[in-house]
Order: sequence, then C-alpha cells, then structure tokens
Amino acid sequence: MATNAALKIGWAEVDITPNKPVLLRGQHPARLAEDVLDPLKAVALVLQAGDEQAVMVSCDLCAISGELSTLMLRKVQEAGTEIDLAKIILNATHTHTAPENSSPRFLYRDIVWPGVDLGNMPIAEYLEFASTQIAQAIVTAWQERQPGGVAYGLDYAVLARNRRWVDREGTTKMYGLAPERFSHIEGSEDHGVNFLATYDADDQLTGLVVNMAMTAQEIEGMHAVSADVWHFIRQEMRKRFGDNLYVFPQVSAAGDLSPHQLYEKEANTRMLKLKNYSMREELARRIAQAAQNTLPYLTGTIEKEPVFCHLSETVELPKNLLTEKDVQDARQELEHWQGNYEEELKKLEDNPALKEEKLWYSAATRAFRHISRYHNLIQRYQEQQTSTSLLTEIHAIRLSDIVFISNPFEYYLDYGIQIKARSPAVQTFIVQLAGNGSYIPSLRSIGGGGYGSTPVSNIVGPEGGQVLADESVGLIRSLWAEENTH
Amino acid sequence: MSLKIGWAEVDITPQELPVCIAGQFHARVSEGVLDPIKATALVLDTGDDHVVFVTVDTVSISEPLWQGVRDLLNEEGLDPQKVVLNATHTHEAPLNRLVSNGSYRPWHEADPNLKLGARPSDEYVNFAAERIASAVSQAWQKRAEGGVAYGLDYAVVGRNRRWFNTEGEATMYRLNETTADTFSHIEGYEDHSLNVMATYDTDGALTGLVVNVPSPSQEDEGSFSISADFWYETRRELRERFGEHLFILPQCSAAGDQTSHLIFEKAPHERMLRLRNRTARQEVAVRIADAVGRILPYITDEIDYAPQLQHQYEVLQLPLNNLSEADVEDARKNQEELEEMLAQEKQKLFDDPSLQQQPRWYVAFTGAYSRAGWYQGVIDRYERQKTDPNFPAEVHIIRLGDIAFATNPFEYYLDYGIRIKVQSPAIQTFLVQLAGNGTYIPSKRAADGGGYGAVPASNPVGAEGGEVLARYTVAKIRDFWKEA
Repeated sequence: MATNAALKIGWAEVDITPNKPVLLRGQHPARLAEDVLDPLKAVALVLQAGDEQAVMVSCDLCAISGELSTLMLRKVQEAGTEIDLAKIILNATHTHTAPENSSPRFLYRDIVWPGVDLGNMPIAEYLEFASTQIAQAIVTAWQERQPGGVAYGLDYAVLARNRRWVDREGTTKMYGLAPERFSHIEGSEDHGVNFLATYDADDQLTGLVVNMAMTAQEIEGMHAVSADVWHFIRQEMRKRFGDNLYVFPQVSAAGDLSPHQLYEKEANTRMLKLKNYSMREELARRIAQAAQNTLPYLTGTIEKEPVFCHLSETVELPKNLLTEKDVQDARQELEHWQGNYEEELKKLEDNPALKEEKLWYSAATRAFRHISRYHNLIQRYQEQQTSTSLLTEIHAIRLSDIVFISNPFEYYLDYGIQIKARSPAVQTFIVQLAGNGSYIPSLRSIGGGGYGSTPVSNIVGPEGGQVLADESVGLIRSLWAEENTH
Repeated sequence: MSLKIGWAEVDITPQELPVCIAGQFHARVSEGVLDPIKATALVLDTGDDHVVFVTVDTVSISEPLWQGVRDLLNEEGLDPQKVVLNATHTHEAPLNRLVSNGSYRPWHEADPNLKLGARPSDEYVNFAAERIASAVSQAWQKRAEGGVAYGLDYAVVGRNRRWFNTEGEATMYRLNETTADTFSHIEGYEDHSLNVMATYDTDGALTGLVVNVPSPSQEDEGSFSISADFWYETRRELRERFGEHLFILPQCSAAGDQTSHLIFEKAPHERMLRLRNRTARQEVAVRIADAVGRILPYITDEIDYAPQLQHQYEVLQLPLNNLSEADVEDARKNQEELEEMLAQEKQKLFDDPSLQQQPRWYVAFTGAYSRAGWYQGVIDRYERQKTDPNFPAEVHIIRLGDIAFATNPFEYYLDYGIRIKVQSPAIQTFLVQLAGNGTYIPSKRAADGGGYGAVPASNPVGAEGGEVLARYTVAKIRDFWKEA
C-alpha cells in the first residue's frame, strides 16, 4: 500500500567470511580457498513508513540460493519482529571468490565426487552460518530503524565492459577472441551509477545504495575468499564520506558485462602501473568519484516523507524450450566429459602423489562440472514435457520518484536498458541476482551463441527475457498509477 | 633525433556577420556569437619527418578550405601535404563549402529571389584559410625542442544515438514515451576512452594537450549562434585547471553513431544538471577535465624528448556504396515529394512576402531544398558508379613513439573504430575522424537497420568501404611497427 508517512531507516552490516577452507562458487573447476584476502559482508537496509516496508540485503556472494533464503527467513521469523517476510529481498554482488551456498542439485558442488576430497567446510555448515548472520543483520536493522530521509542522484563511471565479441562469421565469443577475427562488440554498455543516499533526522549521511551494471568479478579466478571490488569500494567510500557509512551494493542488468578490460589492455595496464593501483582499486576510485560528483548536490533534496510502496509479483516466464538436437549435443558432451573425468580420476588413483601438487583437483572437478551442466540440460528437457514455464518472484519498490526492480537472473543489458527506457521513474535501480542467477540472453546474442547464450546456459531464453522486461515495466508502471500514489 | 614542438591558436570567428551556419539540413543565418571559434595548430617535427595537426571548430573540412590553407603555406621544410585539418564537428560554425558537391547544395542557390541575407560563404572560407595558414606558420616558426607523454582515462561523453525497435528497424534519437514500448536495444557500442597526448618544454613544463574523445561537439547543434559547442567550456575548464596558456587540440575519434545526447535516462541527467547548476556543455567539460586530471600527474616521468616520428598519407580509393535500382527509385520518390514541398514553401513566401519579415522564415524551404539535394545525390551517384565506382579519401597515419594517429575524412561508425583499436599494435591509437568533408560510413549492422546515417542518401561509402578503410588503417599502423 502506498504511503507518504514519515520514513524510518535502519542499517546493519555483518561479516559472512567463513572461518574454514571453503569451495568457492563462480568457475567451472572447483576452487578451494584456504586464505581470506579480504572479508565478506552482508548489508541490510530497512525502509519502513506507516504500514509499508522494504528489507533489502546485499551479500558478498556469487548468487543467492533457495536454501540460503529459506534458512534466513526461518531465522528472521524466529526472532519475532514485525518484519513481513514477503518484503525481504536478498541480492548478490556476484563475487566469484565467496563460498558456494547452493547444495548439489546433481553431484557437483560438495565433497561428493570419489577420489577428490578437498576437506572443505561442508556447504550446509556455511549456509547455517551465513543465514544466521544475514538474519541477524535484518533484525538489527529493523530494531535500530530511526526517522530519516533519502535523496537520489545519478553519475557515470566506466566500470564493466561488454565481454562478448562477434567475429567476421557472426559467431560470438566471451573473452579471448583473436583480434584478427574481431568484427564488433555484440551489445552495449551501461555506465550509469545510481545512488540512493540515506540521512538521519539531522540530515547527516548514514548510508549509500550504489547501483551499477557491474558484477564483482575482477579477480574471479583466485583461490582466496574476497569481496572483490566491493572491499575497496567500501574502503574508498568510507575514507571520503565517513568511517561509519553503510555501503549497499546492487548490480543492475549486466549478464553480458564484466569488469575485465578487453581492448586497450596494454594502455590500461600501463596507467595502473603508473598510478600504482590494482584494477580493483581503480574501479573503487571511479565509483567513489561518481559518488563525490553526486552527493554534494543532493543535500537540498532530502525527503523524509517520500512516496513509498513495495509490490511483488510471481511471474510466469516461458522456459527456453530445448530441442532434441540440443539433447543429442548434450549427450555427446556428457560422454566426452565423463570420459575425461574418469581419466582424471584414474591419474589420481594411479599416482596419489599428484595430490601434493597445486590445484591437483582442477581438471577432474572441471570435467565433473561439465557433466553436471549437461546432465541438467537433459533433465530440463524431460521437465519441459510437463512444465514449460518458470515461476519467478520480482519486487518493485517505489521511493519518491525512483524505483527498485529486482529479478534473480544474470540479465543481459539490452533488457536493462529497455526497462530503464520504458520506466516512468526518474531513476530505475535494476537489481539482478536477487536469487540464484543464470543467464537470460538478449535476442541478438542468440545467433552468435557463446558462453552465456547457449541452451546449456539459458533456462530462460530471449522470449522469457522479454516477458520479464514487460512484467517489470508493468509492475513499475502500476506504482505510478494514480490509485497507488494518492 | 630530438623532437621540436610548435603550437598556435587563432580565432576564426567570422568578422563579417551574419553567415550561414552549417550542420542541419535547413539554413541557419547566424543571429550572434555565443562564444569564439578557434583553430589550433600543433607541429611535431623531428627533422626526419613531421606532421602538423590543425583542429578547426567547424562541422567539417571542405576541400576549398583545406586546399586554401595548403596553398597559402610557404614555410621552408614544411610539406603542406603533411598538414592535417580535422573538425570538431560543431554544428554552430560558418558554412565552409562553396558549390554543389555530391549530396550538398548551397542554400543560396535555392532561389535567386529568396535572399537569406547572409555573407557569401567564399568570404568566410578565404578568411578562415588565411587565419588557419597563419596558425600553421606561427606554430612551424615557433617550434622548439620539447617532449611528449601520453595516457588513457575514461569520460562518459559520446552516447550511441541509434536504437532498434522490435521490428528490426533502426532510428536515430526519438526514443520517448510514445516509442518506448517498441524499443528493443541500442544498436551499437559506446567508447568512453579518452586518449591524451601532452606536450612539454625542455624544462618539463606542460605546454599543450591533444585530447581525443569519441564524440562530436554538437550538444547545442540546433542553435542559430556561432559557437565552438562543448569545446568552448572544455578549453576554459582545462586552462583553469592546468594553466591559462595551455594549447588544446581536440580530436574526435570514430563516432559516426555517437553524440553527447542521451536517448534514455534523460530525466535524471537533466535533474543532475539542474542540481549542479551546469549546462550539458559544462558537464561534458568537467568530465573531460576530470579525466585529464587523472592522467597528467602520472605521466610527467614518462616524457619522451626523442620519440620516433613517421608520417604517411595517401588518397585511398574506397568503393562507393553500391546502389541498386530500388535505392534510386526510393530516392527519386523522396526527392519528388521534397521538390513539391519546396515549391509549396516557396509559393507561400512569394504569395505573402511579409512572411519574409518573420524570424527564421527560410527554415522550411531551405530544409526541403537540402533534403531534395540529399536524395538527388543518390541518383547522381548511381549514374557515377557505372563509370567510376570509387570514392577518394585522404588518410594520414602517424607513429609517434608508442602511439599512433590515424585520420580519415568521415563520420565513421564506432564499430570500425573499436576494430582498429583492437587490432592496432600501438599502445594507444588516436583515431581522428572528420579530417575532411565528412559523411557517414555506417557499420554493417547499422546498414541493415537503416535510419538516418545508415541509408543510401547518408552513405556515399557503405559498410564495404568502411571495412576497406579499417583494414587499410590497421595495415599501415602495423607497417610502422614492423619497420621498427
């Protein structure tokens, strides 16, 4: 129900760094992290006015599994507050250096493959820990909410780059296309950085929601726990705007983007060297600069009784329907990777000394990951005989003249720009990865294929992607309809 | 071999007003001067080879203007062919074309009885050529030992202005509440790289900046006043931050499908401008100056006082956009409609001469006249391609230390620019479009979608020629690196 009542704002940040070696999520081969490069955080922001509320939690994780959400909700419920569980949204920064938080659907992702025992913290144990911490953050933010105000603004920072290159034959490749074959970059980029700043009753800045089309995967291949770029962004923001500032990351639609430089690499590396920055520090400075370009101009615009309304909807997305040929191709791949997996296991069995070598498990677990992916594809084909749609929860929160709109996917940018272009909000904060992830490719990316735009990557295809865009725009527009805004 | 560097800047604001302003189909007779327009010359000379870059606050460099400058040069050791003129693409500078040429028809030829009252454009061409030649001469004469350093940063300036609808048709601009639900995606890419080359004297003091941005200077493109557009504010901002006597040489990288106009997120952009109390042009200036400010402190130890300099130029024969009979039919139909519109507009003015007292009375008829000429160009090129299927384009390739400059006369779509940057062996590749008379070369995907900038009337050279130009540019840059 829309309200103009006085807004209360609550913030909390908790640590979700594991205290034991963990399996990291985000790459095909298993990665065991025994070290912590920098800590992982979950940040909760509570907005409440009259009968309306929104609870947003941003987590330094690759994605938000169903198990993590379920466990967290149970713990919040047990705390016995007035929090409406249906109004809680978790989103991930997509760091590829955080623990796996999804139990094995098939076999992969836990200590379940014979001969490759890594001695990592069981996923269930991490889930228990992380869900407890996140629930605690929510409850604390709720309990500590105070009257306050919000203001919003937009600036630009060149952050994530489109990572899909099209060759002269029209085939697309993510990373690594030989320059000789390069024709053009498939899609666009979005360098808009949307900010929502929160203030206390005395108009002092308390926190900052930072929404941008960049996933946190600059150091994605590392074997250590890290919040990736957000570690430095938090540091830089606090250095500039206050030690106690809460920083809330959101990733706008960026399924085809990543922070890696794909051309002008030499020039970029040279500049980093001259500045003595890592790329993560450089990105942090760009974002902090965008905040600095924005915040001084917002102080006269703080609203303490903004229009506030939170709607959610379960939308039915058509699944990417697989063909018999897709299944045949998958069976061939499955056979190939099964053979490869067995070979790798045999090598380890014949020569146990190999297990003393660094990353001895990579080849076998990589093969197993592919087995899992193609197995899942075949399973999806069987499931589509009885069910051709996927139920997906989306949330839209209007706050003053801006809107947050969430979805659980790695949503290609074309849809994000479409939603922004069609939205009646002055600023549209798209929040992807408010769930377990997986790519929804743009229509134009399908012809070129490549990682992210193939049947095995896409539970939902462009048809579903368009339905999701239309439903998102519809939900946003309903927030601007007269009956909802008195 | 040591490097000698010379700089000069001259004012090229017309002294005799009003003049016709170039950049839109319809005529604009200047109604004042908003800010001065400039030409800036940079000489780089190692003794073995040299280049003179001249950036002109104008929409494009006509053949008479360029040739006029070269004809006036008489400096010992200076090869006039090594003087490269490029335009910032401001749409608020005087017309510098004289006669009908391709798709272009000068407005004063529209009707002898409808006088616009502007000074003849040859007067401005002569004035500008003289001023520009004097800038080149001054820069050449003043050249002295110095060094260069380069760097890269980013500024969000040029935005892709073309979008595809759900039917696969491309449109420039016009994405609004009415059309938004037909929007599919932005057609192409954006390039926010900002390449900088700084020059220094022998004491290491900064003397000038080459600032290469993939965006034409056309934020206020519809104005009826003379202006350098965002380069006016950018020069001021840079001088305020880095020295009042700093020379600034703007270059526009490949950006045929880009401008500084937004096609989405316009409302928050305009709101932020209001909150910051800045114009859009000032905002561009601040972003560029911020990027330069993130480069300069880090390159002062990198100054090279003896970089290798090589400069080659050629008039390349690019294949004309191969027109079909259907293209010609389409052009003829449009041309006839526009000629009819032109006749109606003229008749209105003849029937009621008092209309000619009204402000900007000439806009409708000159617009129809130019558009008709634009389509006539297609018909003419179709005839021409039967005997002469090539389009001459002067291109310059320069190696300076580890960086490259590559010029072309077009409004070159970004896909080609990115390809050249991807394939170039230079650490930084400064592409310089509009080193000549302009016109769009569309990307392949743009040509498929059509729309302004990617239709036969816009494209004397099409995607095929665009490919040839990209391949040539990369090959020539590579040759320099191979020789090294």
